[in-house]
Amino acid sequence: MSLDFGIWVAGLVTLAIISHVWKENPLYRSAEHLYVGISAGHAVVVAWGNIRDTAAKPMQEEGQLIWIIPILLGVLLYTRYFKKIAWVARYPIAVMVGIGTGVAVRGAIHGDFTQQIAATVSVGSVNDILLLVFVIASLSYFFFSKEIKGPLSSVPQLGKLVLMVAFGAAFGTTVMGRMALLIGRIQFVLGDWLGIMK
Amino acid sequence: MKTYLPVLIMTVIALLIILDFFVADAPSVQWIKSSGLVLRSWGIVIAAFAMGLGAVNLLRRHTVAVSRREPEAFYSVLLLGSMLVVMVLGIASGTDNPTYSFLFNNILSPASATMYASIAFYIVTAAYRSFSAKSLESWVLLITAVIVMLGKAPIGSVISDIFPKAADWIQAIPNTAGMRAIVMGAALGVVSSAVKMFLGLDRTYLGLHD
Repeated sequence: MSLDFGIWVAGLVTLAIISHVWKENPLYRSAEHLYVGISAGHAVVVAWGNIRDTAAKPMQEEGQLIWIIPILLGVLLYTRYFKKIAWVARYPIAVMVGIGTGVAVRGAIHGDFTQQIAATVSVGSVNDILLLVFVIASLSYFFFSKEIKGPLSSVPQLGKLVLMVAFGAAFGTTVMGRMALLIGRIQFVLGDWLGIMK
Repeated sequence: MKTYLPVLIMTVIALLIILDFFVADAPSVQWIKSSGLVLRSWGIVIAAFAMGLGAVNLLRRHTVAVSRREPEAFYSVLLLGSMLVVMVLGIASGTDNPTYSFLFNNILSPASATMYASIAFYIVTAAYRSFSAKSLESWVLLITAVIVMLGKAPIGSVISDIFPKAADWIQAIPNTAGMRAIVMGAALGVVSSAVKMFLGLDRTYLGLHD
């Protein structure tokens, strides 16, 4: 059995959280609230570091006064707490949504669309041909503008089966990933903490 | 003015960032490139302030629970205490502080790993309840899941070498094909949602539900 205080704390936290599988209890609720509190505090510390390193330091050390603009926009987010001027918060939100939309759209057009097409049409083996057929079939399943009738109706049917295989594979991978984490926690409790298992 | 100007600002910023990626690296359009870069770094700073907004909301919610002595105020005390300790230590003395590291390594990390691990139980019970193999599609999903799980577990290769090979093939070909179709569809969805926002047809992000 470990004599390290940190390992004891980690072991008790692990047991408290896993106890939720049986039913919700005060130990779980305590560990859950500690987890949320530490996560939120950590997120604030990371955010503080981002403001300091990205905006405050260049402004103080290199005189880049342009960083006043994002800092001011960030501060304006807090006007939502004052009813009369709450509308001002729309401006920083608009800037944030604009940046997020721009980054999302360029990623969607380039990485998720054109690059996916390029990777699909580069055929060099039997598997590549199968991949191309399966992608076309799956895409045809999402084609709702006009009902596909006649001999071509088997294409979306094949697409549906390909999607079911993909969902099955995603489910299997997720279960195995979570099982690996669970085995890791069991090894920690029985091995590192209690010393029952080596 | 209070509505249209934010939509205009959002559209101009989004278009600049999109153009920044697609325009050639020529001196005549250098201003687009540099504006895109600057705007993206501004995003990091504004998002950091937004994170603070979330923290303030959390602090307010739990401070009210403690001051009203609600039945579950004890949990709010735990949350507030741990959050304030981590915030003060992290901001005052950095993330290398021994107490900060202790809380991170011995509470946050194991709690996070155990939260994800405990999902294994819920996935399996949910699957047991909902996987009624009554159609060809549900049989395909079920059989694929079993093959992939056996292919990834040591017992699979003990039973037969076919399981790891079949799992690898399923992941490389039909899984990639299905996911690729979903990703391409989602990409078109992202672009059409963005166009709706640029045209001012979707202004829910400003708190306007018209």
